[in-house]
Amino acid sequence: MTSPDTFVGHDEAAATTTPVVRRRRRRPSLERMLFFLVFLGLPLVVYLMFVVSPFLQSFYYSLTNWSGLSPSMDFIGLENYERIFGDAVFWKSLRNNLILLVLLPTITITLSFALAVMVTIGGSTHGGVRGVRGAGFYRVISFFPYAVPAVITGILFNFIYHPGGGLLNGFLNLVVGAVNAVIGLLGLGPVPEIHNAWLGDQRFALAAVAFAMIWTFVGFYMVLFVASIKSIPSEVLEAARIDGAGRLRTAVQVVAPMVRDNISTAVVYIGIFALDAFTFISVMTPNGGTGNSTKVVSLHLYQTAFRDGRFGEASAMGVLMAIVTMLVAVVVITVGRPRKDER
Amino acid sequence: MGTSADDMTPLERIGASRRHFLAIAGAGAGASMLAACAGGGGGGGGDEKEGGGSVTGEGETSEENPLGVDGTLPVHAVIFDGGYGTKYAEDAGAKYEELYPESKVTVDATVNIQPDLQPQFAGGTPPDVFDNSGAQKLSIDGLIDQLADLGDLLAAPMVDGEGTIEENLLPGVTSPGMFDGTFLGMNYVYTVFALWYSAKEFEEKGWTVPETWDDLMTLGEEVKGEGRYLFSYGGQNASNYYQEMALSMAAKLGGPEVLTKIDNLEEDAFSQDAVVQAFDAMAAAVEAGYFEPGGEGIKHTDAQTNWVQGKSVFYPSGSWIENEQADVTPEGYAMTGAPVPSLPDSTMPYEAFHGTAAEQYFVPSGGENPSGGAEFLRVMLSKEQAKNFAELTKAPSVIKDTVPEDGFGSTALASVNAMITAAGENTFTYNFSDWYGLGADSITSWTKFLKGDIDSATLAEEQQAMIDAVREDDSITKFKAGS
Repeated sequence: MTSPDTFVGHDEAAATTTPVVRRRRRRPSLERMLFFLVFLGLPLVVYLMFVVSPFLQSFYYSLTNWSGLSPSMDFIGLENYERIFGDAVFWKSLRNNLILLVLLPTITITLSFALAVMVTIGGSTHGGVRGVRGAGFYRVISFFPYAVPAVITGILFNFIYHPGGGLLNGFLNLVVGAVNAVIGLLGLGPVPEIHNAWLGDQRFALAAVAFAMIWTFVGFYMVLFVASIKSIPSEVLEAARIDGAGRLRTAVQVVAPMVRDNISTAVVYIGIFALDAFTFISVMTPNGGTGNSTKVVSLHLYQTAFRDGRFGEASAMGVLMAIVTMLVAVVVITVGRPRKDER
Repeated sequence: MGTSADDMTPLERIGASRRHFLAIAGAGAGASMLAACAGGGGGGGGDEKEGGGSVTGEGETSEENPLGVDGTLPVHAVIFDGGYGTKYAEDAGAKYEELYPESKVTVDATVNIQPDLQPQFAGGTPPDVFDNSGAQKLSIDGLIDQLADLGDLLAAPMVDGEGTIEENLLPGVTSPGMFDGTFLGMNYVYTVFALWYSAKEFEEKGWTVPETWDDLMTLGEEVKGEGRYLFSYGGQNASNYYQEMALSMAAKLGGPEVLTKIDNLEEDAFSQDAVVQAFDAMAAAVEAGYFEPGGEGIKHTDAQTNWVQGKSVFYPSGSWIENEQADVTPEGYAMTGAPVPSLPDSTMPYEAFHGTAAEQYFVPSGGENPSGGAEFLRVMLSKEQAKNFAELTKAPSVIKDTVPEDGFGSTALASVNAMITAAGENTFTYNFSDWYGLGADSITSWTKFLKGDIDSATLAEEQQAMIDAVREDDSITKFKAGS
């Protein structure tokens, strides 16, 4: 609380003694103006031009019948929104987005938090608080999936889920083989081999794609949580341990509240990703899966715009998704913010 | 321990400021930004010609210059750089410059037609001629008002042959380019839809290509005995190849009018007897286990690889398949096409097939030199250039008699050529899927069907519901088939 005051105080002291400096204070120096211009004005202009104006523009397009090609377009009011509300595929896609919205943050954050706890405070209870043996190695390794581009991850998982020669079915069939060997001894009939097309089966497809996303993100959020757990003073953790708190209790009741801000940031990020998810879905199930089982709004929007040439309607979907995304961000931040008396 | 600004880690601080940033700006804007930055650019003013205007230029017309081209103007062509490459178009460009020495022809190649051309259209500066093909082609519904009528091109004489261009085209070629009775799209590559197989395998096993559906089912039983399948399919993105096969069988059974009814989005189009029988036949093959299981989880590339590597015997596809599969097809496979088998009491002969033309070339009416764009097409449609195309790409162009019997050494091209000769005028095609962009919706239904989730009656209902939705949607421009 002291550093800004010191600076101002010093400045004022200088101002009262020399009027020259005083004048300079009233008229900002060239350097100061340049500073504002470069570090505030420029980003603001870029932001207005590339973020705010397209946003407003697409809101306008959502009220037109623009085909994406014609230089002109007709204003049609809320007709696009009416179409969307009556579009079963849109609702199905939104439903899939909402499933992802619940699934992805919950699983990813639980997993990555658990891993972060293991590599920071999950180690031996003798001596100082530390992570499990080899923590440094795990921290590096777990970051690798995040470094692989999403498209490549999607293609790799396509191979893993391949119904014929896929890794997943191959592994399951090893298990099936072992089971058959055992129950064969008991005189029971063999369990059939598994040839599931994971990405084509409506029951598993969305979960299969979600798994690839979780695999990608767990390491990244683990690193984020590790950094914030490291910033907790070790006295606090040692005190908790002396008071008899086990690892789980320390993690849930001491560490988690102290890194709450990071967790809610992570929820917002993953939540926004879950509402998009375009890359993974379009690489792994280009048409949104059997019976639209994995179609998400972003893919539906893309098809509406670029396949059907209905940019107006697609813009309306974009506007709706922007609203949904903002609502999610507001809810998460409100819930995640500690009440005043807790501080 | 407090959480005042001084105690935050840099990461936390970034997190905190980002959070507020996100809350204010709404990061979801990303989704709508996709559609945001393209329109309303140039506006174009009032000088744009209305769509459908004739393509013939202001210049004087003559026998050598039937389209009234101003030979001093440059021509800008944009070619889709796909399976056929762009060499053929560059060669045509060179020929154009030979005919009009004062003109400069630019041939641009791209794989991204839509992202490249959309801003040009929206800004009022489209190219003079372009090839609307590939996964990212421009949607026709949005495009239609921006195109020139190519009727004069059809009526123009050949550069190097007898008669007009129209007289030298293979049957059915102009159909996909007709929009409400106006000829807007000149499709350049002739596509034969067929059932593809390995001639080598059939020879070794002493099989004959089944000409009737019953023969096919008999062969299916034999193939199943070998632990293999009749068909592979890529349900993630290409199950509609089997829609094509079923509709071809329906057309052969009930005549081309069956498909016209579907194209015209009639109310009971998918409950026509021929369609019902064809769908039922497919359902019998699905039920008998003649489709390689697991297809619902893979893409067409995987399915086609499985096929050429022997997991299955047939694959229904267009005549691009040999080129497409060149990298994975075993040596000596001798890929050959045959018409789809006939159902009992078919009205069309077995030789009839689904023939259409692809690589749709358009001449934008708002370009700098529309008549030059059309003249570029006239050069491409000359016998010389058409032959050059077939030799370069091993695919037939839409111009008659430009492929030698040996198919330039390609078994697929030779079989296609033989099919064209055998069928004569007995070809048919449909366009509803392209006109209204229904491929994705069909895939959704057909994958469920081939997987065995729904029966043929439900499939027909879903397909009918799909075209009903288009018919009842006033905001979609409708096209009329057979006009």
